[in-house]
Amino acid sequence: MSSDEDAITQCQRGEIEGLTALIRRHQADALRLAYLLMGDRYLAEDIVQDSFLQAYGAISRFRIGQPFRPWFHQIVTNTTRMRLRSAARRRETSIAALQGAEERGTARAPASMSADANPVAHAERMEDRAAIGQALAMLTRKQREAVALRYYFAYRDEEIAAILGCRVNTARHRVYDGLRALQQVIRTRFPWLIQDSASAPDDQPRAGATTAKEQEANETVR
Amino acid sequence: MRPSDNATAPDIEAQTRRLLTRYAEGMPSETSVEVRVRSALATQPQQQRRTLHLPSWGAMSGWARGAVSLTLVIALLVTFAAVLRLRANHPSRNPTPLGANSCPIVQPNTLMIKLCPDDHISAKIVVGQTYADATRTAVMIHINLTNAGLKLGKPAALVEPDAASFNFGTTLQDSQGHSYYANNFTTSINYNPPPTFPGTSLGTAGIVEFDPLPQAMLELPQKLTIHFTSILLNYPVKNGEAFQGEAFLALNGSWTVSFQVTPHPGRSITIDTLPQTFNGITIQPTRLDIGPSGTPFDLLASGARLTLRISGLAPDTLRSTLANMAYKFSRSDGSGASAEPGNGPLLLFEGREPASIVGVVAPENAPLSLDPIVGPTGVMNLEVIFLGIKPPTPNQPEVVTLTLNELCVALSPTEKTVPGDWSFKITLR
Repeated sequence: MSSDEDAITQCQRGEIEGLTALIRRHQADALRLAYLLMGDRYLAEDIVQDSFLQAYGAISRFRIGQPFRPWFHQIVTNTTRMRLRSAARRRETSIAALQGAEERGTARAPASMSADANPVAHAERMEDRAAIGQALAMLTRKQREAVALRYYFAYRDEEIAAILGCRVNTARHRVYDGLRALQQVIRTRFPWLIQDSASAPDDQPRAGATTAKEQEANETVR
Repeated sequence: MRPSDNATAPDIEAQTRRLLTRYAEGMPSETSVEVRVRSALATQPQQQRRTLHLPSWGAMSGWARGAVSLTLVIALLVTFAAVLRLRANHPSRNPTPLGANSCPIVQPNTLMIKLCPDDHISAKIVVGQTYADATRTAVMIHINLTNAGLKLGKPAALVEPDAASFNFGTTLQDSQGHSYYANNFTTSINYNPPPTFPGTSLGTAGIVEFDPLPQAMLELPQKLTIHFTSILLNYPVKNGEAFQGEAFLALNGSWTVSFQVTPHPGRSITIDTLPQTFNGITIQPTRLDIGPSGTPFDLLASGARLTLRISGLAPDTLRSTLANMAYKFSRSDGSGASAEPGNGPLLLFEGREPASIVGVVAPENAPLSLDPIVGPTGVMNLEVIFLGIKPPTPNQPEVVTLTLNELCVALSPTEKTVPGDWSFKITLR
């Protein structure tokens, strides 16, 4: 399999095979980044598609020798920002609205969830994902970007700064603020997520999740 | 305090990693992205297929020159024929180049649908209402699908579904040949018209928004040309049946429609304030263009465009870096949001919260990703666009404060900032 450099060189020569190689190599990561930022798989696909097209359009300016992945993740992040901005302006799908819809069971479940052998674990995993999505939706866009880049993609501060187009100190603070905000949301609204992630394997049914949610609902009512 | 200062930080960070990983598992890695990208590229102009390493004309042999000439003549004839064909389909033109290799029809377990040529599908685009002010140019687009028995379905499972998208390659040109880009790459056609759209039909209308025209062009009606190369229909329905329930249909072609727009210039305020210089960088707000309030066309009440003249910049400064400014606002009741830690706050329109801020560079209207450097003069005009702000009342002059404490002139890894205390009082009337 050719390297990113080979694929980029092909792209710069106008050979679409290079782009195909880049898509196959990087689409999974890019989709997950867009999904973490948007909370919707279909919007994520749209964003990644646009991002690859933009990357292809700008590939002549890509300097061979630089890593492609953070450069492309910068494009994905920018595309997501534009999409979020337009969605907000059109009062359309937001990550929060979507998570609410998922919780109500009105949004479509990702295909990957349909093949779970253990229905209880599957249901709980769906529930967890909805909760995590809601928690992410409560972060600011900048915090969400920083948290996703650090804690899912393990980028360093300098790399996050380059991807987000901000200063290193700013990136560092966004990561910290985002982490703190996420933990606060989880502790107050979805505490079972922490308990689970600390003690229970993903596929094991757990106790207390519903109780915690019920408690939260009761508190809300009060 | 940094994450590492906290004794429990490693646990929290590990938990966060686990949670994000669990969440991201909801995104399947196998999608139709590759197919969709290739489909979109198939209709892009050849010049975007990039670097052509052709030998110079003089270096070619005689037969090669002949071959190239012949090719050019053939291409010219083909183009001419295509133009004639397009003109016959006025007002919108859709060649819908569905060749034999685009015939796989509906494939189970894929999201992409391509129709056979037998379906003779075509899409007609009609420009409806148009709007232009200092913050945007917006165009109402109607799509009519013909000869395919195909309709835009309404997927009940989605909260606010997108029915169709102008997926890629949407540009707007003015009569002087300047290009303006859609301010988002996918502008959807919604089923339910927004409440601020009185009298529009359901199902096939939506808005595409572009970067704004220069203020001088807002004074007179303008002839503009909009061009699309791809339309992505979401959830098409044929013969009453949805295609797989979650399908896309890509219509690739070349739709070009010209129209006239009568702009709404709003109010333009020349800002009479002296420039201020700190650490060699001079900033002067020169003009504020305020869009009309209560426009019936757009979803947002109004917006404003502030032009800043910045000089003393290094010639190799990327203009996009300057456009990427951080800002801070606080409300009169003490609420608001804090600026990013570590960034010098740019305090704009104190007491008002901009719904969105877009930095664009005048007058080229180039997308930020393509911005060139400032150049040898070291001077640039930066347009900052605020959307969704409440406009000032004309009868009640109001003083707003613009404060900029730090200017970022280079981003990571060669990050460079210039501190200062640029502060301006701007009277809105």
